[in-house]
Amino acid sequence: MTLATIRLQFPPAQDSSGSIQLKVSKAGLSIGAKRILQDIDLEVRKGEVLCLIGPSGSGKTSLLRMMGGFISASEGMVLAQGRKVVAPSRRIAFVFQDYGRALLPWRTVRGNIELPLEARGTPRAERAAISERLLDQVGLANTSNVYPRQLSGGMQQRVQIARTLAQSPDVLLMDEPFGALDAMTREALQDELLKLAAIQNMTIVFVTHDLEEAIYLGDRVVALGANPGRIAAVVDVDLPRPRNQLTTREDTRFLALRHRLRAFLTEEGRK
Amino acid sequence: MRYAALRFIETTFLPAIVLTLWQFAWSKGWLPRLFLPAPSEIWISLTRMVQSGELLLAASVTGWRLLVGWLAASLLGIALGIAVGSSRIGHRLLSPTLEFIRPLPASALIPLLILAMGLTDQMIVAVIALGSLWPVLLGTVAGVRAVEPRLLEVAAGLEMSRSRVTTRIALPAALPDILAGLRLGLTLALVLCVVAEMITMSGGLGGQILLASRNFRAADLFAGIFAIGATGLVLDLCIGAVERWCFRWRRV
Amino acid sequence: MRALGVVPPVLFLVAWQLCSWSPAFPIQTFSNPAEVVNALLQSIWDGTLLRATAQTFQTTFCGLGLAIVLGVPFGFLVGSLPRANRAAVGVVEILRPVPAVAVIPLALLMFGFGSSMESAVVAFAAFWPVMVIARAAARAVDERLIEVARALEFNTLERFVKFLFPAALRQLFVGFRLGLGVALVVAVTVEVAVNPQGLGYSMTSAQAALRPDQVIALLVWIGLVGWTVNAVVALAEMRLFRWDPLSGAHR
Repeated sequence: MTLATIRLQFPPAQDSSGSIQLKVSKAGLSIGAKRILQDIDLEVRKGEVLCLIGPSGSGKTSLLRMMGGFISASEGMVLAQGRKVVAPSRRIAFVFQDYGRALLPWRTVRGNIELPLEARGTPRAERAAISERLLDQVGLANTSNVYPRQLSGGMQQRVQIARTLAQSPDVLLMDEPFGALDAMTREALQDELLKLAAIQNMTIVFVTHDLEEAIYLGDRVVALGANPGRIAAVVDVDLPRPRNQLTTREDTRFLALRHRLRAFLTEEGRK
Repeated sequence: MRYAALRFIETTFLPAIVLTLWQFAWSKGWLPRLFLPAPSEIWISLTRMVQSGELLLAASVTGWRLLVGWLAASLLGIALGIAVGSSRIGHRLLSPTLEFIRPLPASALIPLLILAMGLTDQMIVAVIALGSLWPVLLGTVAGVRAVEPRLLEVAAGLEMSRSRVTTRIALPAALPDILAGLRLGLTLALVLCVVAEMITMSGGLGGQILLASRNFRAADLFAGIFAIGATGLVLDLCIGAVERWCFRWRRV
Repeated sequence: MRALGVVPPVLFLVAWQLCSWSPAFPIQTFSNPAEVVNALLQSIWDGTLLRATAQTFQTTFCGLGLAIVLGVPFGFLVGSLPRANRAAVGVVEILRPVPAVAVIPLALLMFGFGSSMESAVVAFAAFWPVMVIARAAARAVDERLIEVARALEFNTLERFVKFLFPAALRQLFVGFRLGLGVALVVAVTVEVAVNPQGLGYSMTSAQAALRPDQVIALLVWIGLVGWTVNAVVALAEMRLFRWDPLSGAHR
């Protein structure tokens, strides 16, 4: 039984549309003559961490950007809580991989985090308190008056995450956010993300090419096939929470999933 | 300490030698006194002009014209530059025209403006404004177009209004290019001011040196040239200071 | 869609022509496109335009030549010998802030009206970009080449001629291009200001004769000349330095 034949259809949850944050419905994407995505049907439930993996060419970043409203689907649609997504919105926050380019270099850390608050019109007095709290949450207390270029990569990415949290979004879309960081920083940030997700019951869609990261973080892993990108498998990750870098990664279920997904990816990568 | 002293000597010894030889050659009568006065004469001229206030007067006349013209040009140039730079169609429509106008000598506008406005003060300010508009405009357009696209996506994600995106993101990001344009504009403004003053003989530093030349007062001429150079230097330093203040985040 | 760029000028010309037919239009000041074209063709036909252009070109290239002859060796000197650079800094930083136009009255005293005066001012102006670039080129020359030159025991002059110069040729051409731009602008400026010859003076006399059509025709012509010179040099640069991936990068 190959991974491709495992298509776990989740029975409609207890309270149907109320808990579906994002729904991608029969979506396809073509750029010019090139078919990037085909026939994507996906539901993201409230409070879940959904990981998207796939080889290069599977269009996972394009899919994420489609969910974020940065590009429009050529066919089908993306719905956020029942409403069609046509443009980026504050309720769907996006974390970019190239954090260096996504932060305003001329503003301090606090200035960056307060950007969504300014956009929303939050009164000045409140902004400082909110940004301090967020910095605390991402483990960056005492850096408010520092400029991004003075921080390490991992810290800059945390600033970006804090900034997205300042939006109080319904959904967090993350495009390989830890891809540019070293292994140790990556693991630390993975755990912090899980902690944040748990505290705030956040809905996260996480794109990564790192298979183990996807399994470690996710409640569900969606594997995309390449050329054109389509959903090849949707897998439940029933590992216990809270996750732990040592014990979870040695859990037999983790290893089994990793084994199957790796075989799948290698096969898809050959196509 | 010794190092600094050595550096100081190295940089000043050549000018000192030149001045000394110059003064010496002049006293021996080897130099054409018509246009090469002694350094001592220049110094006397300079102090005299400063004390009598005529230098300050001329400098303030020039400075005033400069300020008004350049400020107007800068505000207009930045506003237009933002408009053209942020609109893809606007840029495609206007950029060939802008590129064609770029190499045009700004002083070539003077005769036309004289026709339109006569040999007046307003004409001088208009020349300065029209001339220094281009570097500012072109610099702003370049800066706005070079804004990191990722930041624009961030702004879109925050549903920022167009005006907010311009003031909070585009302007700060384009600031290096805008300041470079402002600097060029200021240099050009001084040049145009001096030329226009020479043509209209209407006071100011430019008018003064031409007058000195016509009356064969070489020492006054040199003093005036020095004053103009000093003015340019001071203006440049001012903009340099503004630049440093704007980019203090770069030097942490 | 390069063609799109033609639209604004065409629209402007049409609007201008239309407005000029209204009685309220100050036609003595601004003329109209038809008259301008007429004046342009007229001055080409009777040779005055080409003569003036030749005069301007003559002083431009004379001044530029002088600037190169003085600026390149000086730039090389201060670029390759840090000691020389430090010594020269004092004089350079005193002279550099002086705008070339401020030197016009001095040149008048020295040479009177005419080509020499104009060439002198042009040379003063063009000296700076040429010198700065020659200096940068000298600094950038591969250390290895200098070591080789030293090892082969060439004297300083030979080092310049046989090693520095060819290696720096590419950058020197950029200096030439920048210097030419400056030279042309300054030449026209001197003519507009004081000198009774060349294109700038043609403009001033047209203005004194209250002929806006001629003034604007000359303005357009100067623009064309400037643009063409620029284009020709850029083309030459690309041809001469085809091997250099950075050729044309300035565009």
